[in-house]
Order: sequence, then C-alpha cells, then structure tokens
Amino acid sequence: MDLTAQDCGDALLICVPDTRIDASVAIQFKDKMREITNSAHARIVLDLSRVDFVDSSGLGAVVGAMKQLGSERRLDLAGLTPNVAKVFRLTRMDRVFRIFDDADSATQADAA
Amino acid sequence: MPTAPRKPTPPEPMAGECPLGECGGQLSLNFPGQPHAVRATLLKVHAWLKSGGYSDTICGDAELVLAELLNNIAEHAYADHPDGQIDMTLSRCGDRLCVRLHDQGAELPQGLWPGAGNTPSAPAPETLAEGGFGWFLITHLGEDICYCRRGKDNVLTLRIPLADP
Repeated sequence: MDLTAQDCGDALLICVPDTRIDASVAIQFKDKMREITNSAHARIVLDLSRVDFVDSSGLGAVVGAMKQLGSERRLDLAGLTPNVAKVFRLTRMDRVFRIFDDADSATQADAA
Repeated sequence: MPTAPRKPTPPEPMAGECPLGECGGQLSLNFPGQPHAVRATLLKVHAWLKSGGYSDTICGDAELVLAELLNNIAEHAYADHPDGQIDMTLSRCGDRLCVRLHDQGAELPQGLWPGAGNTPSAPAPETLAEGGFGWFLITHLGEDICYCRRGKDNVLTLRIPLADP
C-alpha cells in the first residue's frame, strides 16, 4: 500500500491511490500513516476519493491512524465514495470525523 | 391403507441449492482462509454480481457482508490454521443472494452465535474503537443468519438483499 503526501500549508494532504482499505492491508495502512504523518502539520486530510471499498478492518485502521496522531493533531476525511461513506454512516463513525466532499474543500477549510 | 406421511427431515440449509427454486445463477469458490485470498475472492464476487446487472450499492453491500464473514473465518476460525480452506456457495434466489460458507476452523464462540436475542450493536463512536464493527455490519445488512457446528466443521448461511431498499 502506497500513500502520497502533499504539503498544503497548514494541512498535510494524504492520498490513498489504492482502491481498497481492507483486512489484507489494514495494518500496513496504519503503519504507513504513522510514517507519513511524522511532520509538524497540526492537521491531516486523508483523500479517499479513489477508495471504493473499506471493510471493518479498514475502518478500524482509519480510526487508529487518527488516534496515533495524538490529541493535538486532527485527521479529516475527504472524497468518500458512496459505499465507503455508507460504512462510516452505518457505524456512526461519520460523527467522529469531519468529512469533506473533496480534497480541495478540505484543505481550504479552517483547521478548527 | 395409506401410511402416515413421514415427518420430513429438515434439509441442510442451502447446501448449494436454491431453497426457493428461483435460482438465477450460482457461484461456488474454494480458497485459502487468508486475507489476500479473501480479497481476491471478493473481487470475483463483485464482478459476478456486476455482470448480473446489480447496482454499485447492492454489490457494495454484498461485498461488505461477505468481507466481514470471510475475514472472521481467516482471522479467528483459522487463527491457528493458516492453511485452512473456505468453501463458499452463492446463489441468486429472486431478490436475495443466498450464501453458504463452510470451514473447518475453530468454533464460533457461543456469544457470537447469530440468532434471536443476539443483535450486536456497533461500538459507541466516542469510544474510538478500532474493531467490533464486523458482526454489527453482518446482521445489519444480512438476513436469516444461521450458524451450526457439525463435528469439526462450521456451516454458516445467510441471505443478502439484492434489491435497493
């Protein structure tokens, strides 16, 4: 699993090029997120617009990626495709994250 | 003198046959109970359902339920048996996908047996749980879930709606 990072001022935009965050890559995803978020950015935006499948392990890995940032930094999500959005909605984890329509609106939004 | 009809023996649930007699196609797969094999299997199932003309939502829901079930087998039932195999039969029966899963891994813990009085809920969002969503998703999106232990085998059947709500 590859992740790409782009400096967008206050925010670090991370794109997931793979189409799946599932049980077979969940641990790898979380580890890569730990590596790639090892920067001074207080805010991370995770662009999921290419991801069309997330299972409960993938969901857990996204939650884990947020928790490992600590309480001073935040993880926002962008570009959820319909089936991915449904997993967050059904599990009510859409209440935990700020979710933006796309990466542009996420990186332009306030950090608060 | 007519003999009294014998009480029929209950058939094994969905043993590869459509119980409704409305079978619109069947897919039988055997694969290792490992995460990468599960992923490859799910991609085949998705393609099979798409070729049947089902919407992305329907295909996505079915794929999610199967992912949770198959990953449970790979991660728990076969935790100590990485070479274990899974048999899966899918039958399109009217507006339902009938699923039968068979493995020879560890028994499903009693507390997780699906049935009346056991409808798992998702962890509260504020607990930031990283797991515990699987059975909630399975029972939320699937129907008529039935599990039985037969000797050293696990057999689980369920149905997944193939119509948009």
